[in-house]
Amino acid sequence: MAITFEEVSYAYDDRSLWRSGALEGVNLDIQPGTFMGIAGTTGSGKSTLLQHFNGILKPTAGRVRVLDVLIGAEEKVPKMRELRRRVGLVFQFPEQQLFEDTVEKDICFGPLNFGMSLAEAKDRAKWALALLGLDESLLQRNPFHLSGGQMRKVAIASVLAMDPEVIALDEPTATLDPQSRAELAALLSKLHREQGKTVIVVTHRMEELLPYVDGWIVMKGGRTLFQGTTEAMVREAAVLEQEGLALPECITLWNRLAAEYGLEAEKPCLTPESLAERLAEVLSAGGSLRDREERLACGESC
Amino acid sequence: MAAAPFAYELNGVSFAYAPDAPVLNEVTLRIASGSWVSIVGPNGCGKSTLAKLLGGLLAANSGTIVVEGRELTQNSVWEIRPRIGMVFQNPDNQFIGSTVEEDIAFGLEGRCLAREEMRDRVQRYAEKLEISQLLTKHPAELSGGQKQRVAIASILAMEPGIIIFDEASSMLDEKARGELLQIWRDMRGSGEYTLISITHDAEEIMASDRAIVLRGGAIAADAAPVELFEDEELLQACRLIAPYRVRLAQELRKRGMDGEEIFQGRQTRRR
Repeated sequence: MAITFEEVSYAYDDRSLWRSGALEGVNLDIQPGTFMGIAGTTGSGKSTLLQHFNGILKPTAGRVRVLDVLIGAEEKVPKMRELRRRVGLVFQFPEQQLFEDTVEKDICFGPLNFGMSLAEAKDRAKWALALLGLDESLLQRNPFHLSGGQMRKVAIASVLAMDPEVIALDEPTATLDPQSRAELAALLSKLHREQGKTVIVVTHRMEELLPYVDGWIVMKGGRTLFQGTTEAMVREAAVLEQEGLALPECITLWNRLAAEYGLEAEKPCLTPESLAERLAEVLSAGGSLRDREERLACGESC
Repeated sequence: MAAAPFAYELNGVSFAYAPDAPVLNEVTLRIASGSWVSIVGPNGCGKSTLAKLLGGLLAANSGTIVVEGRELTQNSVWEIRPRIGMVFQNPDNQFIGSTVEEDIAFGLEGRCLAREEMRDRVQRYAEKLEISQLLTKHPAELSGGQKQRVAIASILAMEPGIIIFDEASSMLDEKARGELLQIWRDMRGSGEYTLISITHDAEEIMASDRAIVLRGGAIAADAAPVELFEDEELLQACRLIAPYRVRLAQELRKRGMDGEEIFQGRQTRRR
């Protein structure tokens, strides 16, 4: 098991008058080598959850196991150094974690800190930059002179350069242009498929991750509202929407069409290509679209 | 102030942070008063720089910027800037007050308004953005969407005619983003504001009147959003992806089906 939560609660300012609970009795199982998406409205505890993955936050109740490290509320804090190399965290505003005067130094900082030689670290920096689709010429630039989106990519590269086993990202795609977002999702999927990394991404844009993820965790008010596969989530859509989660159009539209054409039991088609293909099949089998629409319209007016 | 037909007239505007790396090159454009314009383009194409130039936070190296009929210069910037409000990506970065009420009042204090007027405006704009119940809260107690509402209320309370949103929705969840879109639609409908929105969000671009595409520091296209999303090549070039619905309609068309009928079916059923 890559990450397990047992009845984990976390409260900011615990044992004080200002106690505010951010997580309440969360149970989670994330298998090694899976790609998970975490969704939920703002303030539902997603970021707090993520910060437990490499021991930045220690639960105020319950136990967290990450790889082979146990972090419990009642236990002494174990050594975190090794864990932090193996679990790479990219925060909500990754550009705020830049600090060096060149991009190269910034990306090399992590690997050097964890004992890589300078030559090795520089190779890593090049490799990571290329992964993010950034030009090598950026290496000698000052990161603070880059645009917001480029800074974000450099910050993500600096975490990937440490070659972590688990990569957790907190809304990495906000402010990237749409194609860069799609490319980042594809890159994470590649790291997951080809190198067996465990990838966990907090996102507000579920649509971008839908083609890649194995499953979803949906948070609400510090609790897990849902944990399961994409298919199961699509089936639960009505319940999740009632709970205040806004679902992307590809899911709502699929559910509407599935109900209309009796496809509820099928694997959901969530990309324009697959949905159009499926509709073409259904419609060529069951008469033209116009006929159906007329029948439906008639059925409604009658 | 609908007196000036154009909120902005830019003529050959260029800007560079360093001499060897120009960010904007000879940008010429006009923005009609009361319209809602999206500025789009890939990361690093100069969108935020343009926003800062429009807001008078940066001065152009060459060319002229005319705001509501007055040229933006070192001297006029102080009189023009009150006409312009800016809302940024991360609302946390623009909180100053220790309560929402103080935060909205901060800008008004800077304008030396009478206390009564300030109270009135805080109430009025808090109501408008449905945050009256949050006035006594500390900004840190708010959700992302609420914070962005407070940021907008603070700006609206200054009663500007032009509001520039620099990726103001990018940190919001899907639901808050939908609400922000509605706020923009209402503002556009009121006819009192010129809205300039820097965004990557397909739905937002779709809802606006016009999309100006920047690429490599120059205007690559200036079109109605519908035209933009039908132009595969242009989308590729500015690294945009069309909204799901537009892409689905295209895929259906490829297979000889009419997407419109499917979507219309939805509307009739909704009624």
